[in-house]
Amino acid sequence: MNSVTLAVASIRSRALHSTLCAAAVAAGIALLCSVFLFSQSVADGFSRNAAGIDLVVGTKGSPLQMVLSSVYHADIPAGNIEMRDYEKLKRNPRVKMAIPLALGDNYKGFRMVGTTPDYLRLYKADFASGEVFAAPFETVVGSGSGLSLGDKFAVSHGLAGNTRDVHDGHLYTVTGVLKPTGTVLDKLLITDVKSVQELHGGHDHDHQADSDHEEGGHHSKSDHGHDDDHDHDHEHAHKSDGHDHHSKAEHAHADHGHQERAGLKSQITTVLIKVRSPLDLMNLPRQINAESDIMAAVPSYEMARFVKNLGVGRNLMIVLGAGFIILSSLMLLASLASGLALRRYDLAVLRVLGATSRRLSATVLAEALIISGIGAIFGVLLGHVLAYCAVISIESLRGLVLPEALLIPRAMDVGFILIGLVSGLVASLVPSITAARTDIAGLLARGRG
Amino acid sequence: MFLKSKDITVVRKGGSTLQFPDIEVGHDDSVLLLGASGAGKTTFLSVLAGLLRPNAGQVLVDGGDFYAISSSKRDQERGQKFGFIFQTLHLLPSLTLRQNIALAADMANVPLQNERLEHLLKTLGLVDKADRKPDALSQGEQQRAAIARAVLLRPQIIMADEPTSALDDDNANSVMDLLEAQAKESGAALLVATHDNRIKGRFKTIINLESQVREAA
Repeated sequence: MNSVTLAVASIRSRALHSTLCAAAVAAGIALLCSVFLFSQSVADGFSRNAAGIDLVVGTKGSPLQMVLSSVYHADIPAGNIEMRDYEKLKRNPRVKMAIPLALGDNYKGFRMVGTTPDYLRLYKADFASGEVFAAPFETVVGSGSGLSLGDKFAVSHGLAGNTRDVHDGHLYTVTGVLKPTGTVLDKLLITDVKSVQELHGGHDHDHQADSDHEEGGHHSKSDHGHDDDHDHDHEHAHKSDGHDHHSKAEHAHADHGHQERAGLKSQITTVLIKVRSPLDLMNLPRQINAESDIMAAVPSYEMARFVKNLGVGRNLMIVLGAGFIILSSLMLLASLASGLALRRYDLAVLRVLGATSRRLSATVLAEALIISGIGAIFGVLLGHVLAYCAVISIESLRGLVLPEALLIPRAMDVGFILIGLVSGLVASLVPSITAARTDIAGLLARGRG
Repeated sequence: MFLKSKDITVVRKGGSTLQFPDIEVGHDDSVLLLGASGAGKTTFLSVLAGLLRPNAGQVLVDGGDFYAISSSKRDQERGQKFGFIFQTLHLLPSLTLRQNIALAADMANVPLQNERLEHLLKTLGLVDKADRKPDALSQGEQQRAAIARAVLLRPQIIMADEPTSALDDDNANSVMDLLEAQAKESGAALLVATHDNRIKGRFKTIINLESQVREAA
């Protein structure tokens, strides 16, 4: 029987105290651990999905919104730009690669992305089966879509998967299924940009501004005949909800004097750009922003700002977690001290039996380390689960952050367990000195413990 | 001569001074320290066992000055050569009886001899209770366990502090019988401090601690 056995016996004899102390340590560690895991995995998710995209170019509006919607597919796009903007960008000598994106439809919540095969190259996607789209309305699907080779499906308007406006005039055919990439690509459906434009621009349009979003109005499913079910498409096809977006888009159309029908056929949502040199990353946005109705955003810059804003809440949680740990350390100190007071006579007996004073200190230290260590281990487990729950409960992080990865142990867990152990060590300092200094003769002379 | 003391003086916290008579305990002696409560019996035992450094005087264990060696060496010597029985017995409540007895070997850093432990459990009639906690045992069983713990390592001396004062005559006698038998079996000297006059007749040497206290000037 060594100090550890003695410590365990003591812990078990004071199970409630010990459990409460361990729980307090666990709470503090869980808070810290989950905050760090969460923010790290969000940041990881952002950088993994940025896939080397240097710039996003789209209609004027919120750059963050543009980055979120076009790079991370986590927000709705603000409006459209002209295909010729893309053509122009492609010819720009500073641009190494320009990829058009046309968003606006979904199949069961999986976003349909009209683009070029370059988009697949961006994520270094491999095919699990099939091949890249070649003809109109052929599509390549992400591994998470549940679709398989040869499947045919119709897409709906909007990006959320809850609209009932279905483009059932045209069916997409799956010609390729991708291997998992661990990026947003897994939840996307990729097709040629012309297919999306065809779907939205190829019909008669009755673009009566904004009335088209009222589901209860003439657009409800029951009102649609097969012939007229596209008459409102373009309105929310590329913009989703919110009148700001509409007015902007319409304003843009008006400026250009386009016919709406022809306009949608030649519109895209954004262009993803890779530049030739770091210097271009400085100059190209300036050049683009000088133009009247398009703007460029740098994803890394926007996301850094976004994460910094998240940082305020993060710091608060860290302070809270640290406070918990200090509190738990004090609780442990109080518990050890009261336990020692109860066990003074036990300790005296151990000394009489030959234990050195150092050994008594070691017993107290072992007790503190066992309690705080168990608390810290539970705290880390709980922290992982909390971070996992946080990620799966935030809709816009879906696909962006992989929640399963949060349940896997990480190197930093060791750090958190060490923090817990240090709090135990600190708590045990005074009690272990007290134990070492126990006045044995005095205790024995006074009789009972 | 195993244990000797010379001119031991202890100044108590209140300032009063305790002066103790010189004693000598041989390897098979049985010595009784007789004194009323407050006469300093436990204090004297503490000094003799190396638990309390006296303000003056010397304790010799096997001829060596007990307070001249390092405290950890002293702790180890005490663990190996001294067996203790307290009035309150003091078994650790969180450990089983067997663990409590084994504690003597663990704390003294001596490997536990299981046959010795089992032998003691058998002789003292504790085999059935060995895996229970002290709370579940009778006073007599606890007393026997405390004796087993004291003699486990075959100490050179068994020190008992008021082993009988809380017991009735029958129990007092049986405890003393046990103590004497175990001391003999282990080849240990017996040093008992008590105010219990009933057991006087059992000892070869009786040292009276009465009137040794001097109040502070």
